Amino acid sequence: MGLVLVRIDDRLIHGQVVENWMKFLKINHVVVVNDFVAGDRMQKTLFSMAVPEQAKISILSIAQAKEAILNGQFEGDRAMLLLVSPQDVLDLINKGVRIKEVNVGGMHYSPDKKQILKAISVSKQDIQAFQELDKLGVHLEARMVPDDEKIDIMEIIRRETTQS
Amino acid sequence: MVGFIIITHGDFGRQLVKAAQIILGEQKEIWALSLHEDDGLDTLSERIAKILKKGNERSEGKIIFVDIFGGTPANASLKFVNDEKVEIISGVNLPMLIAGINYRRSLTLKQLARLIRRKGEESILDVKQKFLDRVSKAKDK
Repeated sequence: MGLVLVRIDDRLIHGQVVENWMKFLKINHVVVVNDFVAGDRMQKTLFSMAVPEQAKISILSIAQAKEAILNGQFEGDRAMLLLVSPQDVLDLINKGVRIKEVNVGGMHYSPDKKQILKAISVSKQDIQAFQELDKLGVHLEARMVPDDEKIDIMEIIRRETTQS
Repeated sequence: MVGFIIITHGDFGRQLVKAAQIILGEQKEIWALSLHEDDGLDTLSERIAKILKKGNERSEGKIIFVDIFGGTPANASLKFVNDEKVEIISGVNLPMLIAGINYRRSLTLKQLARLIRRKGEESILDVKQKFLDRVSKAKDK
């Protein structure tokens, strides 16, 4: 089955992911793709504790994730890829991984960002990365939990960028 | 689907439902009752009785979650102790409510009540100790 969901969520593994998405999509392998977390033992331990015991967890750098995906390591699983930013998704695609659809679940506010949806705030760099992904034909849907309405994030970004 | 009634001192239950909805999205057939200083045992029982009649006909029954065994919410619920379509569980917390919501379409009333109780018991952990154990285990590898 392979990659069932690719999600951008800067909190990575948390309640919405474990209690909702994993059950909804019957995910049995959570793959965190993040250079910082992959190199930090504290963070790795923290996240590895956060998934249910019956599920597998992998915490990989972007380069490691590319290798694992291209080697078909998740083929027998129902895997969910978690990344913190559209830049990281773009990086993964540029390294040769094919991704057609991305769920954008949470990008939290900081002073250099603009809030465009309840749980999504974007910086100029984020917008650029989303535009690049869009050009590559990646479908981008904003949705925090499965029951929420799917929102086309590019439509919102287009509206925001034509305004300013 | 099993319906839920959360009964607590103050608005704890109402906020608990909100917290669960942040994680799981909007939910139907969950009612929260707040006990305030001026509410008596009988008025609370009456409010519970009214809610027990609500909900769709396919409903498999209802679970009453209360905050503390021996408190007024629990005592008011005891009036329905002989109702076969009612289960009563104390010590309500977020993991219990989430587990309840996730399984209330697939389990019978009795099975669900048992699962919720188990989830509640398993949800209390010494987080610091658990974390430190993991770190030292990772080191040994």
